[in-house]
Formats: sequence, structure tokens, C-alpha cells
Amino acid sequence: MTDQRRNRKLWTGLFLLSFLVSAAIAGPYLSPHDRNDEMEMTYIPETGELISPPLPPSEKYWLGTDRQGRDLLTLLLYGARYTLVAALGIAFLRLLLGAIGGMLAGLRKKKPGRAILPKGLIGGIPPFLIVYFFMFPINFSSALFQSPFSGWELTLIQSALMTVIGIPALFLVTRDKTRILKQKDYITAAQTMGAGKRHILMKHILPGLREDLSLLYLHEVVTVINLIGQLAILKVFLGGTFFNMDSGTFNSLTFEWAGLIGKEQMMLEHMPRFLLAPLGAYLLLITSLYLILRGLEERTGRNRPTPRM
Amino acid sequence: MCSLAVPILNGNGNNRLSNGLTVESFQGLHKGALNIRKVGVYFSGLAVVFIACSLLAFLPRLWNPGSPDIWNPSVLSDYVEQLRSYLYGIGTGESFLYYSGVKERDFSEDIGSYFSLSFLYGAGAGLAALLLAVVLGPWLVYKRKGWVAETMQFLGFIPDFLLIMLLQTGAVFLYHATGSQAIKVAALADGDPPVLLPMISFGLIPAVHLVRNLYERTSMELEREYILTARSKGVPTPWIYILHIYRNVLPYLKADLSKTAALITGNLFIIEYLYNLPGITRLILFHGGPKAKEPFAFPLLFNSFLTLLLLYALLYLCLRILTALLEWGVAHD
Repeated sequence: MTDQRRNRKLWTGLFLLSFLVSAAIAGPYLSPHDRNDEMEMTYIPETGELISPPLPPSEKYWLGTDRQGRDLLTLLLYGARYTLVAALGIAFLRLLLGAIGGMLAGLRKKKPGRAILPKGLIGGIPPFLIVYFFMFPINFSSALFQSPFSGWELTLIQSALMTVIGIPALFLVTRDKTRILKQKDYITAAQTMGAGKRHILMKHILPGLREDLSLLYLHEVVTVINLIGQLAILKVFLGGTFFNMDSGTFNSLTFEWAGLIGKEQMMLEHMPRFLLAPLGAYLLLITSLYLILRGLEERTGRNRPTPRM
Repeated sequence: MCSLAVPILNGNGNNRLSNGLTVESFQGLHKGALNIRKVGVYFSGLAVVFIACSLLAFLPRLWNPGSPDIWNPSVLSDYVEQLRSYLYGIGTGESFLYYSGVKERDFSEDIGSYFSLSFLYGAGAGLAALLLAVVLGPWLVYKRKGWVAETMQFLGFIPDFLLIMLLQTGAVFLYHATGSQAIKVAALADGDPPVLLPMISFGLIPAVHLVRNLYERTSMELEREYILTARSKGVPTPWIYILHIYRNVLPYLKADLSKTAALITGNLFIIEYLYNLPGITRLILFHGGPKAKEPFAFPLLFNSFLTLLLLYALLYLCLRILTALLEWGVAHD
């Protein structure tokens, strides 16, 4: 029974994630409307009704429209690729660079000198501020000012920065784990028998850290999502922010989900409905990642039952 | 005459040096020398923090928006110049002036109210979260409420910004459904700031983190042999928790406090923004507005970052004092 349950969590999570990934790939082809389609204000003379955006969910607009009359589902489908590629990709690059460096540093014989960086105090400055202050002057466009970079360039710059600031933490974690692993008898035995550094790395360290690395990856994806979200709430949207001077709104140029949240957050008290779709989409992504994490944890026996007292 | 130069152990093998000093006292003196080194490391650490803050405050000036050269061509000399004028301006007070729109204001006069608001919310929520975790973590293990722990685990996995947004959106929906404004969702320009919802937002994330941590530690501690011994001797279960579990779990809690303080300061930015609270992050995120005489003013950002670090240190200290009190209450002999 336990086996089935283990599989259920992992497989449900993987199914949900692959659903989201395929929605992101096929999104623009599946979407019922074009992302720039704005519904016109229409007047029905028989009833005297004036139909103007935002529209509530209906048969034509499944999740309703935003204030400009754009279909919310279409925007979500267009934005999905940015959200997913950024979250999954940046976390992967962070892990790749941090873990390779960490494993090599952990294998080195000589312990490197103690860093004078007081970890305690530096922890008080949240890392998103680095991205925020770097991106803020160049991320905005409006009728008066045009960002010197295109949407893709801004996405790349921000992604590169988000990758770089995440590497040190992963480097330290992998280095410490490698050092612990290095003390195992079988590695000492391999070294005595003349195994080279590369052999030990590929045959012993990497397989030994595989489970840790996959769990670290999932946590890293969430960290990246949080970073994108924090920046978006402060109006630095992934791929550029367009400030509409007529309506006073901040718009995401890529429709990345956090950008949609950041955009509608200003209308929260009057129309909280707008936030439901992007918040729900994020929650679905997090749930799928969480299920995969729990499934992996149970498979590797990390999730032990509580002892009876 | 004191000849400490060479410690020579005498032939009997005991720890007495040839000149009559014990090894312990020699080590003690040696420790004194080490402490001077420690102070050096400490001060160089402070210098690193100082430089890191100044670099962060200079970051927006890397760019030169609106001109053909998008990169600021004289980055290095600009940085040195800004730092130099800041240091010179400390004496004259010029480093503490900033522009709010076109109006000149004094940082040292304004910071008090901003800082105290952030500190009250942060410390209140942090201490409440710590107390809740100390009670709830072991209690969940004791009552075998695995599902609550599982829920906590899921809540802890949700990114902070999403959890805070869900909470605020939920409160707005509640307000729309019931029409009662029992919970205030955001501060108006001059109204009283909302208390309950921001407090929950500040406290929920560290609380989830600490409860999860204490739950796991307590579960691990219960598997130790001495617990079995205590049980076999007939010690009642609540006593085992108070006498044994708590004192062995508290060190892990202490090790976790810097992360708790970092969680609170990290989330300060979006919580104060979302609830429109006039706290310290308003000074940092405030760029002087579109008509600002000096956007991204270096002295303002630099002063604000140093104050943010002070806030972080004070939050940590508060949490540390509370754990020390708990330790004194539970784990003294």
C-alpha cells in the first residue's frame, strides 16, 4: 500500500508539471484569442445595456477579461513559457554551476582559508535587492521613456543576474556535503587504489549526491519563483514593465504570471477577481513541485513516520 | 621574570611547564592573543558589510538611462566620489539630507518613525512566531497530528510572496462577501495602519519555518535511547518533554534564529509595500518620485541599508533573548 501511495504523489506531481509544460509550449496555438485582442465596448439597443470590459467569466472568455478587454486565459497561456522557462531554467543553471564548483572545492585536499565575510550580518540584506536596483533603471518603458533593451534582452539580463546571485549558496551546500561524503571509507579506498579526481567525482561523489541535488533543485525552483514574485510586486516585471500613463497602470510586456499579479495588485481592493487566475496558476505549479518533492523524499526514505510515544 | 616563550613539558608527563605555569594558563594567554585576531576579523567583517552596502547603494548608478552611452562610462570614479563625499558629509550633516520630491528632508529626523514601525511589526510577529513554534512543534509530535505538520510543510514550500498575496486576496474576498471591515487590508494616506493582517503575514512565514523545524527535531530526539530509559523508569510523558526534549531541541532553535530574522527582514519589503505601511523599506524603495531632484540618491540608500542591517541585528537579538529566557526556564540545573 505504501508503495502505491509513494508512486501516487510522485506521479501526480509529474503529471501536473508536464501538463503545465505542455500548456506553455502549445499555449499560443491553443489560446482562444490573440494576446493583443481587446474586446470593443458594445451597446445593445434592445436592452439598453452597455457591455464594457472587464467582463466576468463567460463562454467566450473562460476566465473573464482584464480592464483592457483582453482574455485572461490567453494572457496566462502566453505568459506560461516565460514563467516556466525562467523558474526551471534559472534553478537548473544555478544548481549546475554551484554544484560543479562545490564538488570540486569539496574534493580539494587543502581547506581554503576562512572567509572573513560575516555571514550573520550580510544575511540581513535580501538578495532580491541586488536584482531590483540593477534592473529598475532599465526595466521601464512608457510613452515618454523607452527602455534601451528589448523584452528578450531584459529577460536574459535579469535571468543571468538571478542565476549569479544564487550560485554561492549552492556552492557552499554542495561543498560541505562533498566534504562529508569524501570521508567515507569507500572513497578513501578508491583514492588509495589510485583513482583520479575525475573518477571519484563521476563514480562516487555524483551518485552519492544525486538525491540531495534533485531535492535541492526543487527548492531552488521555488526560491527563483519567489524572487520573480517579489520583484513583480515591486513592479519590476520579468521581460520589461510598460507604464501606461493614461490609465496609470504597470503592464507586463511578457505576461509572465508574476507580472500579471503585480499588475492587478493595484486593483486588489476593488476587483480581487483579476488576481485569482495568476495566483491559481502559480499555486498549481507549486503544488506539482511539492508533490514531486514529497514523492522523491518518500522514495528515498527521508520521510520517516513519527515515532510513537 | 616571566618566560613564556617556550612551553616545555617536564619529564613526568603532567601538564606543568618548566617555569611553573600550567598548560592551561599558557593556553589562556594564547587565547588572549587569538582574541585580538578575532577582533581584527570582526572589524574587517564590518568593513566588508560597509563596502557591500555602499556597492548596493551605488548599483542603480551603473546605468545612464536616456543617454547614448547606456553604461555609465565613469563608474569607478563616480563610486569613489560618492563614497568620499558621503564620508565628508557625515561631519557636516549633508550625508543625511535627502529630497522628497523637491522638498529637502533630514534622514536623522525622519528615520525614527520609519524604523520603529518596522521594528514593532517585525519583532512582534517574530516573537509571537517563536513562542507559537515552541509550543506547537513538540505538541504536534505529542498529539501525533501528522496532518497538521504536513500542512505546515506545504505552507512552508509556498513562496513567501505567493502566501502573502493569497492571504491579502483572501481577506479582500472575505470583506466583499460579508461586507464587514473587521480586517483592515491596507493603510490609507493618513489613517491608522492595519495591524492584524500584516502581523499575520509577517509572523506566518517564520512560524511555519520554526514549527516545521521543531517538529522534525522533536521527532528525531524521541528516538534517542535516553528517552526510552526515562520511560522505563516511569517518568511521565509531559515531564520527558519538559526535562529532556526541550533542552535538547533548543540549541537547534538557536542556530535557526538568524534565518528567522532574515525571513522577516526579507519580507519587510513586500509586506510594507502591499499594506502601504510607512516603514523603513519605504525609504529604500522610494526613488524620489518622477519629479525627483535626485533619483536613487546614494546617501539615502546607503543610510537606509545600514539601518536595515541594524534592524536585522535587533530582531535577531530579541529572538535570542527570548530563547535565552526559555532556556533559563526549562534547561537550568
